[in-house]
Amino acid sequence: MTLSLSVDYNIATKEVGIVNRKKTLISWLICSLMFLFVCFPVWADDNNLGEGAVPKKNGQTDIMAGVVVDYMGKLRFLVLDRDLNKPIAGASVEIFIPSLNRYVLFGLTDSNGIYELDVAYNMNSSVADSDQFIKNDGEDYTFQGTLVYLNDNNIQYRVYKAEWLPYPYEGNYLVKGDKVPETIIVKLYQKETKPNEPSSGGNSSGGNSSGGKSPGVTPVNTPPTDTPPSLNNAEGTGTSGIPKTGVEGTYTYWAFGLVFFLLAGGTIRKLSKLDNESKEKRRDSDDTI
Amino acid sequence: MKLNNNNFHDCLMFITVVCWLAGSFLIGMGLQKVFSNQKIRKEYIKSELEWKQELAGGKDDAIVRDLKNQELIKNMNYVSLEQQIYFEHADAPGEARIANGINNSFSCTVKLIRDATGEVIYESGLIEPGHYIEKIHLTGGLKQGFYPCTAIWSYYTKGEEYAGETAWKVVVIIRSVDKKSRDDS
Repeated sequence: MTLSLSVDYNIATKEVGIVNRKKTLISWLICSLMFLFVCFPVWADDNNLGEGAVPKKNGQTDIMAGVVVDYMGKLRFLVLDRDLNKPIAGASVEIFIPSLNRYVLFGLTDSNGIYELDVAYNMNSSVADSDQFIKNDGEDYTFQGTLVYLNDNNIQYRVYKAEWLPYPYEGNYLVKGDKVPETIIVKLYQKETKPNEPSSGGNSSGGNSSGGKSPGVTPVNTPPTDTPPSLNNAEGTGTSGIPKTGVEGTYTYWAFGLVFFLLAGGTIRKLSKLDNESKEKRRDSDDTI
Repeated sequence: MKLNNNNFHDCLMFITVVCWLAGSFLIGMGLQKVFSNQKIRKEYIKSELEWKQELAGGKDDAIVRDLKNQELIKNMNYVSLEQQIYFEHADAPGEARIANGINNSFSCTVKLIRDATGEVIYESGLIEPGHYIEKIHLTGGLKQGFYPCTAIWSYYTKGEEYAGETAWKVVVIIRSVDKKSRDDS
């Protein structure tokens, strides 16, 4: 009798030991998983490809006009103070490159508020016919004897300078080639003066110019007119990317993390309640026996 | 009933574990942000570039961006590249005359991107100030014709830190058909 009792006791203690070990193992597993889940984002960040990787994609030929050397001319950006009609020096001129899918800095305006860009014009040329063709360079072109030009001579640009609005001024311009240089006039105003019509900032002489986006082209960075653009490093020309505080952008993650931990806490409480209830039931049934 | 209770118990356990893991992951994401913010701030403070130091010092983004652009355009004046680059055929070398002036404070690379397709038809290595590349070879096997391209200049400091990029327009001109078919004819 005593022997069988001691055997039962040994089996029971072994079972308890196995259950304890199992619990410890599961706890360790969960803790390890939690640790891995915490560490994964940091590890993944260290192993990312970094900035500046631009996927290659088929772009639209929006920027160039004709391509024959004799057609090369100037496209002029003239940046003026809207109120005083005076030139603004040092305004940055960026042009959207469809094949890169981003704006790239081309130049700054000089003391006369002018920046000139080389483009090719759709105009008559002395270049021989045999020298004037494009073979398979996209489909958006026509060939008319002595004339080679791309149908979509649309230039999408933005002009900006600190403390001037709109920031940035965005527009697009259809190169016509009827004037040399073709001039795009951009008018900016200073932050202090509150304008009635902020969008009527720019115009042009020759060709068509309009503010906003060109059809069919979706630039990466199209910030609201009167607010600073979101200047990110991937764009290649931005200056931001530096956080003002050490915890910038973390609160959302932490808030959601907290919600999940609270949920976990709730379920644990429910589980412990259920355990207590079942224990009480067991005790009650033992007492009745 | 007991089975149902067990199922409910297991279900709750599962939910608890999933919530723990999801919470941990999100906390981890938050920590990653903190670490990367700190890393970026350190990089900016230690940077050789004045505009990055200014930005780290809390100067206004727009003003710093102007500073950066001024710096880039100043350096753009020291680099040069033929605006029309002629090639006898696609495999022949073309005189691009890419140069980085000795007075430039940045090293640079230049990349020619075909506007129509976005393909990179030429990419140089790092050109230090005072160095030049006379002739270049194209990739991509272009046929005879004119190709509007954008030359993207990327600038790097002495410590090879990326400083920014500028661009201008160039035209690549392939004068005749490829060498093989020309020889055949």
